[in-house]
Amino acid sequence: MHMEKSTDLRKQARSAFIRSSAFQRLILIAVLVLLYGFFYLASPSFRKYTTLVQICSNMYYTLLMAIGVTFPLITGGNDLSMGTGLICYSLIGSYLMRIYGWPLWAAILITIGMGVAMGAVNGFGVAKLDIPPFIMTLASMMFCRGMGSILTGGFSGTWPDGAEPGAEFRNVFRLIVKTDTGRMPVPLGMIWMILLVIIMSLVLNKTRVGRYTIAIGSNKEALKLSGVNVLKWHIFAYMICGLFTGFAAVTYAATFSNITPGQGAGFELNAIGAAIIGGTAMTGGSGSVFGTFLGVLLISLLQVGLPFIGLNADWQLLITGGILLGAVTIDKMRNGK
Amino acid sequence: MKDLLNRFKSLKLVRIMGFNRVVLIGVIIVLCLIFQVLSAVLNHGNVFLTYARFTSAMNYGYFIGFLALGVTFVIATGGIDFSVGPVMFCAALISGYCFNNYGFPMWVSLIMCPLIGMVFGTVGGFFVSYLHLPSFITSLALMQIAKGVGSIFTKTQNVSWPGSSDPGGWYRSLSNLDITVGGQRVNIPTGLIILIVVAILCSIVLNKTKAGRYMICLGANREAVRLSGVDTRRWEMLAYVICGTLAGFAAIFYVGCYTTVQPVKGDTFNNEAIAACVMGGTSMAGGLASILGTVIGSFIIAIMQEGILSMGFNIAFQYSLTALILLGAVIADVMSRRRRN
Repeated sequence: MHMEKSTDLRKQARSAFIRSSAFQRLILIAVLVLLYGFFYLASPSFRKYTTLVQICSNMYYTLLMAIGVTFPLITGGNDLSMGTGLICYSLIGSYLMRIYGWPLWAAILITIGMGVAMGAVNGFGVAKLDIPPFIMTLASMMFCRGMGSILTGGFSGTWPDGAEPGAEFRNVFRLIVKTDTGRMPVPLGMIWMILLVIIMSLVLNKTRVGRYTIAIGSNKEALKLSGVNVLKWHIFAYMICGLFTGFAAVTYAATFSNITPGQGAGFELNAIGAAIIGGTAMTGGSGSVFGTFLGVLLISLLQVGLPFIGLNADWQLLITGGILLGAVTIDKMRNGK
Repeated sequence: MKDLLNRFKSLKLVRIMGFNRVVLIGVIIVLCLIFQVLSAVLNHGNVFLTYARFTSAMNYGYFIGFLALGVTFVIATGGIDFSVGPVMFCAALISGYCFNNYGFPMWVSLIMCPLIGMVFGTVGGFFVSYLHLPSFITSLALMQIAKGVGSIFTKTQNVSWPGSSDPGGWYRSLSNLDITVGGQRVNIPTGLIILIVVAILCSIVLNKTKAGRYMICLGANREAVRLSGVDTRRWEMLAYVICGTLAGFAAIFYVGCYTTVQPVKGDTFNNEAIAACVMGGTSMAGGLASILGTVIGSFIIAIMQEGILSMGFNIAFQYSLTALILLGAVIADVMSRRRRN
């Protein structure tokens, strides 16, 4: 009798663990290791150190957007304007530098500032005007897509590169070290990314901002009744997302330096997909920055790895679409009845 | 003033069409006049109101119209579909590639377009209605998949459908028929006729059949429909299937007017199709849909696109303007719902 009861409890505990997002993250880590192992065995050129650096540089801007979008996602919303916004901000930043001769730091500040402003607009539309989040951010997505080209006259923008003054800011993310065998790139950006993941994890779990963000997603009415200024914190969640999109814009500029107008649509899907793969619930109310980080790792690994086994970028679209569908289905089953 | 407005509202034609639709037609007329003046001022005396510009605007209106008609069904159930644009391109890419490289006859390629769209619609509908996934994320995923599939199938190359003089070029007369009357070539917009016929069919399905009733009721009060013993999943899925099929139809008219399709493109058309729906009075919350409004909304989008080109601006303005219009329409929708509650 006693034995039966304890096995029953254990069974319950086990099924609760399988449903938990911690379990999803464990599986994700296993998938990452397996996938890396697969690419490692399948392609000798994948094993090079430069491939690892490439995976890192590829993931910076996606990771920043994904960390940012985790917050609106947790409130039960989302942000589709990140991809085209990123291109729009960095285009305008480069334009200010090239045409008006602004110093680099001012251009960076403006780039980030535009992100925050767009986040505030999105948040205002969603929280105050009650516009469905996907429509609000769809509109800002299109607005940014047009705006970047209109303001810069449709020309592509360049950020300082090579021997130009100010090109050192790229070293923040990718330092080239001269060794006796040649030049070796060091993905310095990874350090900042991991720091940011830790900081935002703390913000989400240990501060008022994070607690309110989660509360808005799980029970907005209760939060309102307990006297919290929900409007303010709801807008704040979108502003965090905007801030990180601004960071992503600078990082993108530092990594690729050449920015073409009309690009960027679809970046946000990778970021949103990564957050959902990492265990952020589509219905809001729960999420994890560390999970998001793992999700981005998975997507970047696929992005960089697939060409090594002969599958081009088109396959990557197909596979990320499939993963996104799969992740949402798992999320639904985990949180469903 | 108020008296005049009331008398206008009680006119028979206005009552049949609905007041909002009449306002929208007014918007079209005002837009045309604004563009007429602005193109003359800004673009060296360019004339906007010409027959050539009309047919060119209509060309844009056909495929946007078909996409928007499909999306109307989905929005009526309370969902959303972001995948229509890429699905349209995917259908055009695959069937065009089959025609060019595998020697499919033209009529087979034309039938393939709506079928491919239907496949995507069925998959999306299954995930949304039977697995209860949020429609917007499902359609975002499908959008990526449609882009990927189209591009993999054509090996990342553009697909050019045959020109009107090439063999198999007859499909172009589905959208534009060129006939010679007294030595002069006249362009008849056949696509407009087909669009109107399809719109009437859609209107009948949405308003007069059991399927349409259920779809609208699903958007208004899903729980009530389910509790009254209706298999909600089946009817919800049907809305997505219709949407996908119409996206496939749109492909025929897209290539009929623009010939060449590029892989990994098409996502801007989703936004315009959704904007057309919402402008036409279909509520984002579901439960309220107007086919006539959607058609007029698509024409507004088409005229705006043509007007922006006529004023000598580039296409980027179109994106930003559509965004503002979409926002305006949604805010109006939200406000009117608030007032009613």
